[in-house]
Amino acid sequence: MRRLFLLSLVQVILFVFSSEAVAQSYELRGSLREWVKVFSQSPNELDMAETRLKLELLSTFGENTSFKVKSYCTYGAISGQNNWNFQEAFIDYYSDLVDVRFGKQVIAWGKADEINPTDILNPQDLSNISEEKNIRKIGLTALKSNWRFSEYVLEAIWKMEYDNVKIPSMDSRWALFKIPGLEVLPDPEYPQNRIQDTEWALKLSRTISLFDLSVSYFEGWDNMATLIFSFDPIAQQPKLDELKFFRTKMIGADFAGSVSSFGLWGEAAYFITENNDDPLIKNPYLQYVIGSDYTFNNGVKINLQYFQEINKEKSDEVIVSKLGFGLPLKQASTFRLEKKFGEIEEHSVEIFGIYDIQDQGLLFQPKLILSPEDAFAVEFGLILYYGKKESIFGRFDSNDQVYIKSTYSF
Amino acid sequence: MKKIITMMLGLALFAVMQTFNEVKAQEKLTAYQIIEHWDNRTIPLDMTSQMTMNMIDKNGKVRTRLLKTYRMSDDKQIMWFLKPSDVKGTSFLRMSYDDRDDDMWIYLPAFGKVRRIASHTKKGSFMGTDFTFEDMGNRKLKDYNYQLIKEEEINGKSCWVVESMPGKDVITDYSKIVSWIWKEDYIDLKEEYFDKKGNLKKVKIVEMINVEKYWVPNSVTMENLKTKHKTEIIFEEIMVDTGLDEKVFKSNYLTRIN
Repeated sequence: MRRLFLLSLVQVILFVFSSEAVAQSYELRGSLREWVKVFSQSPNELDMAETRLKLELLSTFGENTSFKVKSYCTYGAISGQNNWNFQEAFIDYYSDLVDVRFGKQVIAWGKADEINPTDILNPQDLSNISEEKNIRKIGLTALKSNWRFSEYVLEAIWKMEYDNVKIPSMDSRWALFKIPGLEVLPDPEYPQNRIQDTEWALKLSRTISLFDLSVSYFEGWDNMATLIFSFDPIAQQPKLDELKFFRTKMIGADFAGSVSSFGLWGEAAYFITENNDDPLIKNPYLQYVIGSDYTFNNGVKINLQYFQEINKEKSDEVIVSKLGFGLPLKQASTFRLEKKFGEIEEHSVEIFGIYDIQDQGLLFQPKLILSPEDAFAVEFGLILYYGKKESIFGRFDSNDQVYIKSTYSF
Repeated sequence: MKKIITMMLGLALFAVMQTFNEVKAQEKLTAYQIIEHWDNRTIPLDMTSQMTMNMIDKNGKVRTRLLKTYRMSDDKQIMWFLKPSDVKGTSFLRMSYDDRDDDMWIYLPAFGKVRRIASHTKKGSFMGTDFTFEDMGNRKLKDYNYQLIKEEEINGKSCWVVESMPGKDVITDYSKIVSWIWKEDYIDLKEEYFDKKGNLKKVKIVEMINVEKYWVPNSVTMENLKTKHKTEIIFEEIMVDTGLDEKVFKSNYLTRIN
């Protein structure tokens, strides 16, 4: 089914290209990014030396239709490998009542900053956890429609393509977790390629006074596989049988607005996963985040967030929750201090951190972004990890990095 | 013949009296009435234009932004950045109300979602220009106290000079704003913005042109006197009363491909 939809999409795009009488404008744009990361501890190995070309082809034809294709062509100098990935390729149709987007797309849900429990429609590729979130996301084929009724907007999504979160391999120094005695995880058992196994979601939004509000519902699959163990009577120990995905429902809500001089937002997601009897499946559990920001008179902007997962029935830390926010944390806070400077505030200095409250670990990332010319920016930064070995950041204690990243947009 | 001459003289006298009365009436206007007239001035029902934003630093280096903008009365405005490439796709929506703060949203393609601009961040710069988000919005009449401080000419245009001071509950970056309002059409041709310490911070100069039956801005220049930096906005391809649909001013339009 996935191939069928992609084929249909390509056909529609080819048709549009060939019908010159209808087409109005095309635009090719993108960026070239060079990113080099070096481990700061001896022997100062290179972690990454990557060239990434982003290409976006956009077109509008008529007043109500447009399409966009976004692809990343990546060359990793260390691996010597090229990779060309179409993150998005979709067609938009706009009308008075409904806007429709059909094709491979990235859907961003949630009003919190980066940590979005409800943002589960596109799984993330976590092989580089310091990558920008919008690039980490894996585009999937879906039909999205936005219906407007008075002050309400109803977003209805039918996702016919499934994929799961990609995590670093267990033998990598970036492994998010390790299972003793196991170096490579078996291939998971994916949901079947049937229409009844596709996913769907709804979100109802509106603005009331100074607040944007929404409630959402998702019915689909867990985006992290569950480890299914059986007891090996000969070895007298548990044996990993398979990795399996279970059906999951999510009820979500979020808000964003301002109170007095503070920006304020919150987001919550309540997950219900099938197979309640399995001891390695958390069911149900709640993730929520609340946050606030404030801008001082000198232009320094501070942003604080608190995140927590509440899972009363099962507290096994081996179980990884849905990763709407990218990292498997249970209770954490984030902080971001940002100051723009320069004649037109073209440069910025930023300090970002995540403090793992439960396991006592810290990710600390100061960076300086300079933009000497329009469409060109260069970023210098450090990514530092601290904490107890039980914490995810503590495990990365020897992975501190220095990096330089430059981007030219065209 | 005598009757005609008498009638013409009568009409001329009536016209002179009317003009005299209008001048007298204008002379008697209070600062609040002037601002009220300014607020109720005749403006296009809607306006579309392309905006070229030149950001000029103290050394004369220029960075340029190109935008497309739609406006409905003074209450609704949506704009899309067309150039340069690193900000293309960024869009901004403002909705003003009589009884509460403006709503503002911004769409940044890198995040893929529309974000509300909280009221406190309105003192921040609008996309690196010398305009703040607050400057992009409308001031509420009732939020300020007004005082007519003098009358002055700007480029041969006779103006009232009105000082606006914010009420204590108003969130603003300024301690006062002084406006030069053209007597003929109640248009603000110049504004001076004073910081919280009472120092002159920024000066805005507006040049108007007549499009169809309306006076509309042709260029707006905001200069920051502290940084010696200025932003010049030039309006082109101006069209008025095009029958723009109100649905354009919805947040879903921010994400549309232009």
